Amino acid sequence: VRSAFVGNAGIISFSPGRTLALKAETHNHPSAIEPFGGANTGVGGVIRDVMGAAHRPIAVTDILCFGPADHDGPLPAGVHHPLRIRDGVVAGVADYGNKIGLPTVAGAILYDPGYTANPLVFCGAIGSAPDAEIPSGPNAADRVIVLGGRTGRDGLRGATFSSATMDASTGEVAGASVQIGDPIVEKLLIDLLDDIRHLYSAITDCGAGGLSSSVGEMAETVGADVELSVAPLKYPGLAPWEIWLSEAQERMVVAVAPENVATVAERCAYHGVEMTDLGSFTGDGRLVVRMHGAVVLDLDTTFLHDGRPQRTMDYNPPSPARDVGPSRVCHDPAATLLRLLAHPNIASKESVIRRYDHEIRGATVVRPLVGWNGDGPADGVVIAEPADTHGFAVGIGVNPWYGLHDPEWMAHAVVDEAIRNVVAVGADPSKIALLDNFSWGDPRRKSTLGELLAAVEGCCAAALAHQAPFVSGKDSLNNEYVVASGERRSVPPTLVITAVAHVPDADRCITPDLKAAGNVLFLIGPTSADFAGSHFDKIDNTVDRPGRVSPPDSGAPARYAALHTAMRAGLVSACHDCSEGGLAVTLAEMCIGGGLGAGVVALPHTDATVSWFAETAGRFVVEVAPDAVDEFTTILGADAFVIGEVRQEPSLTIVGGTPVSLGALAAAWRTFS
Amino acid sequence: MSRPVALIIRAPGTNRDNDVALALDLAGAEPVIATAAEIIANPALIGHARIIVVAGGFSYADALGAGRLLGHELASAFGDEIRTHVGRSRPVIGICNGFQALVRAGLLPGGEVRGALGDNESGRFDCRWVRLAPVSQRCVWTAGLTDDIDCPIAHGEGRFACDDATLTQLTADDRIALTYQVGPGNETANPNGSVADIAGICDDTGLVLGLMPHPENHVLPRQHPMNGRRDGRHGTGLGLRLFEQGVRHAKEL
Repeated sequence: VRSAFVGNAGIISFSPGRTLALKAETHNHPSAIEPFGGANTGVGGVIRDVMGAAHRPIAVTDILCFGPADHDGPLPAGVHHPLRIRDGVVAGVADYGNKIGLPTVAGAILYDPGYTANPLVFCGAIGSAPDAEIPSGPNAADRVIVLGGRTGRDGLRGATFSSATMDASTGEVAGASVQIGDPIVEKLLIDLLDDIRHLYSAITDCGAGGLSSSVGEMAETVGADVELSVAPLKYPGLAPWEIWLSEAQERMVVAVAPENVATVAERCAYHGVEMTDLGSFTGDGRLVVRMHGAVVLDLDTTFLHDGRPQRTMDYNPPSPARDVGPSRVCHDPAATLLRLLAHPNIASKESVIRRYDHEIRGATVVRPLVGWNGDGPADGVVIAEPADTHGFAVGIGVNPWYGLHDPEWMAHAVVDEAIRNVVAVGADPSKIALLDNFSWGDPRRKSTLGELLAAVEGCCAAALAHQAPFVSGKDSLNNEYVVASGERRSVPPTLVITAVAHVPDADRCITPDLKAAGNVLFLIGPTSADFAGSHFDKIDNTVDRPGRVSPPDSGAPARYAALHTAMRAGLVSACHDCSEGGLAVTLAEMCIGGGLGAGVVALPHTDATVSWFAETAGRFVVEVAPDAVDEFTTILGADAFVIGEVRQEPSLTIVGGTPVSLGALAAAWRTFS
Repeated sequence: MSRPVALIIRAPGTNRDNDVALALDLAGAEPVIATAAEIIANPALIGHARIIVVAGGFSYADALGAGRLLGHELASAFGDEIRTHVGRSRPVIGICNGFQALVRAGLLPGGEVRGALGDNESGRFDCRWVRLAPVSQRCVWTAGLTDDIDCPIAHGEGRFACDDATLTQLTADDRIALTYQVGPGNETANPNGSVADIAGICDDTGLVLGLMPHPENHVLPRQHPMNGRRDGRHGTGLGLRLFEQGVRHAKEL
């Protein structure tokens, strides 16, 4: 870890001579009232965060939460239909990512009624840079240089409205706060910043709060004196406060030593980027803002950064039920499996993924769609520069339904899920960095704050258990909507974990699609009756049924290390983690991706319903060629449990049940779009 | 000669310039990336180049239409230099947005032959891998290629359209350079509704090639999505072969 929770993004050492910058952001409220622009500027903003950490962006991720696509009842006043929001958000993400020339790789789409009035849009970006000193300025006498787009009234008060509770009037009042991005201008900025990497002593992006927060942050301790009248405007007539607070997109602020300003100006002219010298960093610790020379703001930067009183807030800790609760009964596992595969949260996301360019840069090694036909389900994705053996995997963990039952164990489970996703494709479990994004309701409610605290504790415990550091994160609270009657509707507790991990050999990544008939299928990791918040319950709309969320599994880290050892030894043909829908869905997805069948001869639990559909964390299904079975079993020890084999015959045969044809599995998985 | 200079033209919004630079480097050329503005200021850059490449992306944000503004520059700001380049039997390639720009500039299909690129039949941007058959023996970029090429498409406006007479003439003149084939991930072969499954065409000299897919994103075996599934077949379908043909021609001049 080179930098964590300071500056714009977390920074980690990667391969020899390179570092990676990681950041994930939310753009929830903007996407609720203007889906295209909200998501569009969300992507643009998180890419600038990585640029603001002095890294060149190389990949983008997106995790989207919407109300049910088939919602057909009345909608709260001012709320768009989930389909309109989804289509706008997807178009906004695609527009920015495709035009700026970055692959949109990892992601997830969740549908739940809890997101109807408050959709969530998480945008992430990953950047790469030569392993050099992180710029340590600004230094006194450096110039305050603004690069990129012009300043207008656009986005004024965006930060304020993004943190407020929404109601029927939000769209009307704050609609103008949401902008449409200009990815081409930001692309020029990327190229420029690559070119002048050695010429600036500090850098940050203009995001929420505009110049006030970017210059204000950079001026911490050193101080600055800036003149607003020289800022290039989109149109005349802006008041000083409007220039200072404008959230106009595609702007960066750099600190440049006076002797380097001319060179920076020359490079700006070459790249077609507008540059303005607003003033200087002074060294006197005061933030002074002028308009035509007259002082309009003069603040002590120590007060500005640390002067606010710490708030004290009360909370009520949640008291989750941690016994397994009533047992689940399934009379027709085959029919249940097909319903699970067709559920929007599990079904193929191909119609969305195809709209994102995930090939640009030629560095995408494992794609978001994999398999014999290039359209099967995947775990993590892997990125590796064409000339490099080293790669990195990106995995996502998110499960708000667990969060409704047990925020602490939910957090543990989604950290585990993100880690499983990267381990499954061949990443080294000892080299993982994590990002957290919390989207919750109003934390002034004691129960909400209690849930939040419990989730943070779950994150801490999981990070320590897996020895995987959190390097950056972001919270977005107040994801609530007040309906006319005064009732408050909050999103379910939504924690998105992004895992980024080192892949030692990008030429030998593992994918989940089955490879060859006759290979042996192992289930790795114990199964127990963990059904709280499961999709087994969700397909019957009984996601609130009592039960237990998958508990922290102290055996998981050693198991992942052993699995990685087996992968490095070339013993693993395919690997897929078990998540929503349990073992049955995992196997079905491996069959769909491989175009092959599977026969299951042994169940991991005495209760068949638990075996098939429980959502115990810490598990993978692994395909191993017959001649590698002995060595694999030696490495995995007691964790290696043979459940069946890969078959040419295109069906999934459940022991004691009727076979389900591969065609039926694939058709169910592709029902929803 | 050793490594012929390949001049890669980019405009604001071009974003596959580095990808195609890698492909040309691996194919044995010396890639030089220059902005259209630089070339306008210094047209001699074209004179030094053995190969001209118009890279993919969203030039000028595709304002006024995909490739239109860049096409206008290609036609008017340094159109004479490009025509001189072709007159000296030096090859040109336009990929994706570069193809769109060459069509807008009137360099493709070229002469009296009329064709255009329209919205994909699906009405959507589409990113997927496709299989291409090299067809034309007139085109210096595809002549002599025997193996199919696997590579991705990533475009919203790639449907090649022309009237029946034009299609007959392009076929008769052996100017259909590449066609979409059935392959993994595209069982319906044609991803965008192009006439006669056309993925790329050349001008009547065979020197100027325009294509929608991105062979520059398949220059290493591991870039292929089936890399982990095709033991013993590594190396097949490389888009690199196309660039090697162009570089070979440029070297032989």
